[in-house]
Amino acid sequence: MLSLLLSTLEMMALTFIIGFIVAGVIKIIAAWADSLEFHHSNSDEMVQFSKLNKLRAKIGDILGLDVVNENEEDPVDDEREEFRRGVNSDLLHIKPSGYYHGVSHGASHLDLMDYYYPQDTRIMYLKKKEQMIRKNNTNNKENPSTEK
Amino acid sequence: MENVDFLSLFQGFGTMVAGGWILAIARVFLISLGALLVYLGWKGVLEPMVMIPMGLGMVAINCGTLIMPEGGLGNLFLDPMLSDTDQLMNTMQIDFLQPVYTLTFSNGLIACFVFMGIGTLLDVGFLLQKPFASLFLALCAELGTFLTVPIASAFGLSLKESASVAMVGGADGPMVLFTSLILAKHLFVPITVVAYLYLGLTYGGYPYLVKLLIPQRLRAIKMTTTKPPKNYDAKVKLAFSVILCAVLCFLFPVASPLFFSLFLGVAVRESGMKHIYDFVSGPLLYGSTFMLGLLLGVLCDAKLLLDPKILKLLVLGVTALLLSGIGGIIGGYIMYFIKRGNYNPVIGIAAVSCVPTTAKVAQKLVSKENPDSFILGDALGANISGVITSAIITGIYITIIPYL
Repeated sequence: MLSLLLSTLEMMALTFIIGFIVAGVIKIIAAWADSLEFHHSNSDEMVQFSKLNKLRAKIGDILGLDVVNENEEDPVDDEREEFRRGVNSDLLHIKPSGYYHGVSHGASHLDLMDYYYPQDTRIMYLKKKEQMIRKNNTNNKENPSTEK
Repeated sequence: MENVDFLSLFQGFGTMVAGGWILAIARVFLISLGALLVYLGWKGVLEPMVMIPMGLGMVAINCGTLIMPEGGLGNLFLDPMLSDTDQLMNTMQIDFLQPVYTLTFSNGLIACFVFMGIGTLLDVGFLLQKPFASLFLALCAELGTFLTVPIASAFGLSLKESASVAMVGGADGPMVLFTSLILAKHLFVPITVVAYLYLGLTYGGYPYLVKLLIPQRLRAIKMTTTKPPKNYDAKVKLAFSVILCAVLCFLFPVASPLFFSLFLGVAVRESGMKHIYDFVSGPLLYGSTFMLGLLLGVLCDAKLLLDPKILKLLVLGVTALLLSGIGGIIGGYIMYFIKRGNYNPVIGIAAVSCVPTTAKVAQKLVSKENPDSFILGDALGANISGVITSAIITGIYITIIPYL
């Protein structure tokens, strides 16, 4: 009788385990459904926005207004935005240094790294300082009279 | 004409005398019970769709007993005890319900049809919203299905018979039918009859149990939710039916016909096949339920049911259902404490998987105490989970019990 009771309890435990596994599977399906719904609602929203923009452009055309197309001003197309986001597309260093936000090429030797990464800037600063000290030292050795 | 005996001419009366007084009393009792079932079905106390054909079948089979050419008592409805194929073929040409019984009832097809129909009634969205809470309640509401096994063994039944009768606690007719068919075929008829008789009683009996165990203050709880209820897309529900069917069939191939039927019903509902949906949820479900009731009634032949184990089955069946109801309510109380009072414990009774009767009972009881409280969504979630857990237990019993 005791063994039967134990077997029953074991079967009960097995049912609970399988039941919760099934609940887990259902939860995964529900979570997948939620993410799918979020994705759909988001894409729907984007479609709605683009429709609104087109409508606005059309109305502007009809009224003869100079409508600014927001897509043309898309900051993603602006290379400066890439810098702002820390993306450097100029890996081959084709562009002159000093290209950063609001400053034309050549106006400054600092680049965006100096603005956004103070730690790096510090290292670069120290490296540069070291180079300058070395250069000064070598100049002094070659031309000691100038020091007097 | 002088040689014609009254009892030979009217064999219904003749067999009362020929069968002995015990059988005669049993037949009179079953005829009265059949009439009572018809009346209670008509009054709406019991499920009329099952009880009216069942009651009428009980009346007809016990009145329509005749003396067969070979001298024994019999009828022209069906003989459920036939196993010899030649005899079966001969009987199928004489007994009008024998083909229906042999080809749909004894192989579980009718249970699968009913399950398919139930599947079309299930909105799995309720289950997708709160899977853990619903399945937890359903697991608690299987208390009777488990505890009746050792109780039935203590009553002197074998382990297979105990498991078959314990399935009554799952309150799922097709599951009982399926389990007893596989584990205890010799008790298949009485167990199935007892199960369906009691399942009809859940509608009338469970409200008293709920009122006894849950105070009015708790029955009136209105649950508040911060999140709005989600409406899941049909394709999500379809994916749900496919994945869960695959998982459960993989775990329990023995019960795969039932899983397949249930989830096929869900898939039909969600796939937008209107004509098939109309057919499965209408003529197939109602036709199968009607034929099931009719066959159950016809199986209530006094000669068949005069088994000394019947009384035990009657006691064990009601014990299983009672324990499952208590288990469901305990589950409801646990959820009430976990949710810190923001949960109506009456939902627990809906976890007893008598779809959709117990969910309706739960909502009816709650509405009576607080018309503003709407628990049907949660109750249906628990109800559907009950079907799944009953199917899991069927799989476990069919797979494990033969090895114990």
